[in-house]
Amino acid sequence: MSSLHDSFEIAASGVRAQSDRVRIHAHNMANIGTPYFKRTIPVLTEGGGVTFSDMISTIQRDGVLSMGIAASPSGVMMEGGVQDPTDGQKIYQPDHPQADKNGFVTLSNTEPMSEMAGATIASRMYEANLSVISVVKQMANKALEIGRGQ
Amino acid sequence: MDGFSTPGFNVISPSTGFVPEHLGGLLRAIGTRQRIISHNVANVETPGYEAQEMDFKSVLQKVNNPLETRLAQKMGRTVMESDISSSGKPVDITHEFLAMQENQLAYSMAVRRITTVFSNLKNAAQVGR
Repeated sequence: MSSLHDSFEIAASGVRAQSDRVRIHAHNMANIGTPYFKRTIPVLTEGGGVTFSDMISTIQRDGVLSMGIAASPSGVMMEGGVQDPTDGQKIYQPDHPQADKNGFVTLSNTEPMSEMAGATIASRMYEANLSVISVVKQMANKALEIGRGQ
Repeated sequence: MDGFSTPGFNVISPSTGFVPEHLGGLLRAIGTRQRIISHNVANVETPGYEAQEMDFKSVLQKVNNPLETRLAQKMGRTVMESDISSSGKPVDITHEFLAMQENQLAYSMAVRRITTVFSNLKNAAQVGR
């Protein structure tokens, strides 16, 4: 049963990572009109979900339970993000309060199309992890049927 | 990849001898396979991640072999690290979902088999009553 419970935790880490990713895309979209804004590129890495059997093997190895130390990477996590260093479009607008000394304003480098595409992929991946959870739940329910109906 | 091998929780105590040991091992192997599939689905968008796979055939052969099952129980695990390998390819989500459905059916099948064993035992206990 422990690997089934681990599956719940792993799929939950996927759901968490994808909702973090949507948050980053939402932040980029919200700042589409902010001058000098640099968009954040979400970065996913393996690991992040501390599962029950990770804890058990930590106890078996060290004798104590230390939270957050995983024996191996399991699940997925959002490791913050990286700033896209490219400059946005420059427009000449000398009356703008944020204009530089030559009178140019650098616009945000957010591309609405790529942000929406990223958010859509994140939403699909969110659903994929949710359906893993529902399948694992059905399997765990099935295990409760052992010996029933006698 | 030590975290993938499950600590030895026996579904059914092998000491009674009533229920074939390989059925408990089968449930555990299916659970571990599900764990690998979940891990692959969670990392489908992770750059550089290579899908992991479990050699189910060799695990099942091991589970069906009574000698090796005893050895594996002494060591506390059914699925060895050598049974889990990296495929070297990125995750194909269609393949993972197919494997997940297959795995779910296999789990139901194993559960039904265990239930049958129990009801046979009950029938045998009621002989002559």
